[in-house]
Amino acid sequence: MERLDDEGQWIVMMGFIVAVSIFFLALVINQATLVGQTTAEGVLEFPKSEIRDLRSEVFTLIDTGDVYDSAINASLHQDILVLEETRKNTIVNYSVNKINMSGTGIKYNLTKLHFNNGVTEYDATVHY
Amino acid sequence: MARINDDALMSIDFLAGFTIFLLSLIVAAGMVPGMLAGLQSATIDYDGVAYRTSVILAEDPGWFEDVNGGVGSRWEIKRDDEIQRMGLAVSKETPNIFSIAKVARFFNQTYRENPAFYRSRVFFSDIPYSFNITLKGDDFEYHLGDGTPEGEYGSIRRAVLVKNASEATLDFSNAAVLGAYADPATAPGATSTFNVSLNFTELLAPSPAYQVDPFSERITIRIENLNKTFYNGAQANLTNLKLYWRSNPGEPSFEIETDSLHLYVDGVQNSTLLTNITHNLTLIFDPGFFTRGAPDNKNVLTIRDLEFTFANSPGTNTTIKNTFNYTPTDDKVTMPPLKPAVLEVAVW
Amino acid sequence: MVDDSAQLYTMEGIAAAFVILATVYLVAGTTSIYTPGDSHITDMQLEVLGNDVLLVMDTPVNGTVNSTLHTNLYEWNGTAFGEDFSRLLNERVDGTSDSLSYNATVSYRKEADGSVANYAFNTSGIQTGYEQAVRVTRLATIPGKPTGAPADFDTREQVVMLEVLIWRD
Repeated sequence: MERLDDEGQWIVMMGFIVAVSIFFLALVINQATLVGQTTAEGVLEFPKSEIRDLRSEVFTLIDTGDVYDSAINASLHQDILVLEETRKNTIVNYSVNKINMSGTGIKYNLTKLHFNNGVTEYDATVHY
Repeated sequence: MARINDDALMSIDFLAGFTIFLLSLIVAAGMVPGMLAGLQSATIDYDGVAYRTSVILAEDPGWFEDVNGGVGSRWEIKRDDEIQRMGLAVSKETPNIFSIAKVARFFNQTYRENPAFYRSRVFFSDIPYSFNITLKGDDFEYHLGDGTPEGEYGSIRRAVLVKNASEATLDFSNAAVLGAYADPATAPGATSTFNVSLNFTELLAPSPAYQVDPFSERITIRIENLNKTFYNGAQANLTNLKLYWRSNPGEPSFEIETDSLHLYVDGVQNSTLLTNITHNLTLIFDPGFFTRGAPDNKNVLTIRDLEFTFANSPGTNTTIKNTFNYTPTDDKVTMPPLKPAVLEVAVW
Repeated sequence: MVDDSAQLYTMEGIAAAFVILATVYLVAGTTSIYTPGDSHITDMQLEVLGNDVLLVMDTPVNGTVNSTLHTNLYEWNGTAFGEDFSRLLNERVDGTSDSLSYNATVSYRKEADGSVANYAFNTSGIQTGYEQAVRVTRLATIPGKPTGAPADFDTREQVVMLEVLIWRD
């Protein structure tokens, strides 16, 4: 065959084009299965309920008198820290300061919250 | 032999090769629909949409923006076009605690006529999902949307508490009430006035889950056994009902518009204010009533007084008097406890 | 008449067929089989519901009383807690009951050595280990040592953690 012609190369080209398009489709399908998975995992991963639980527990302790003269009850403080660390693998901390505003005489508790579970870190300052 | 000109001839080898290629192409094309079948898993998406909708309904208090520029989360008293987002929670700090006024407004819409109203305020999606939202408690049940289909759909269930509205009952057959708010032994003057006072600062002081919210809750006032206050009479004649802003004495009083007030005289619904009462009078003020005339800044905390004026004449009079403070610490005002309920959101 | 001018066509046809079939084989072999459990959606639904139920139980129904959870813990009444929790967990809008089971544990800290101990509070069924379970927790304050609490429970006011494992039967 001296003459290298190209009549048959249409076929190989079509074959390649079909193969590439099937490959592309497979890629699309592979990504599609991840959609639902990451939605639910995103919800599971963010510790919304844990942060809310910590906030509500600290505020309940403030309401029931855990805080006196700007000092918090040390053993309740340790309870929360140690329980969260050993059972939930979360580092938490809170501090409360009673503030009296001199002008209006309004009293409030300046509360600082810290939450870190390794994936999400949350810090908040609340005037409760 | 010399080569024949084969420009227009197909040789067998070409046919064979082309056939093999075509067969494999057909087999591959036949397998593609099978691979695409996995993309039909719509329930993965529906569950996510149901979860997001349930968070908006259960944990978010909602948002409105009205034409005067006011914003806030008490959307249940606003017009349809002013509501931006419908959430049923009492406030941002109290997730999973529903306000009954918001629940009633949300489930009261005529869904069939206007499903787009919900889609733009709860779902926030261009895809027209069909939905079914149900809230069920021990003694109430609310539905919204179409019936759930036979096939697959995404759903989620939430456990919530529902906060009902407070009400005040003044029963004049009780001697203490009679002594405090009436004087049947003395002849009354030309008119008797009775005031119900709402101190907004005091009512809004407790946490949002336990407060009486005059801005957005229904207020009910029941006066029972009014006949005990009559001074030799058989009925009382209510001539006027006005709303005053007592903490600001220069402010005028406001006439009551009866479209936001439900009046029950002796158990029968009455549409006019000026009426004769023999036994019982029940007034139900729709949410938002007591903010009438107040500036749109909802942080203005005032004392609003509701003044009942009775005209007295022989045979038709009452000796009711004094001011009743509408406050939850008074034992005549009942704040119902928070009741557990189940919310289910289904999307397809 | 039979010459080899067109054998190029055949070879190329076969080569193209091989390419296509090899690609299809590769692609079909690498698509992942997707089971409903992989998507973690059922886990998410259980965890959301469990956290909701604990929040509902931990909210006082009016401004003056203690919450149901506080009462159950302070009286150390696992049975009452179990009934309340199970009812709220399994209630459906159409009136039927769901089939979720739970296993509740209370964790508390001992001040003497700083360690954390557990106490099995209540369970609604025996776990066989095959169930896919989620864990939800809630902190609660107890004013003192409840009667019926284990012996190493401190007598001071303390914060305990209630952990509940929830699974679908």
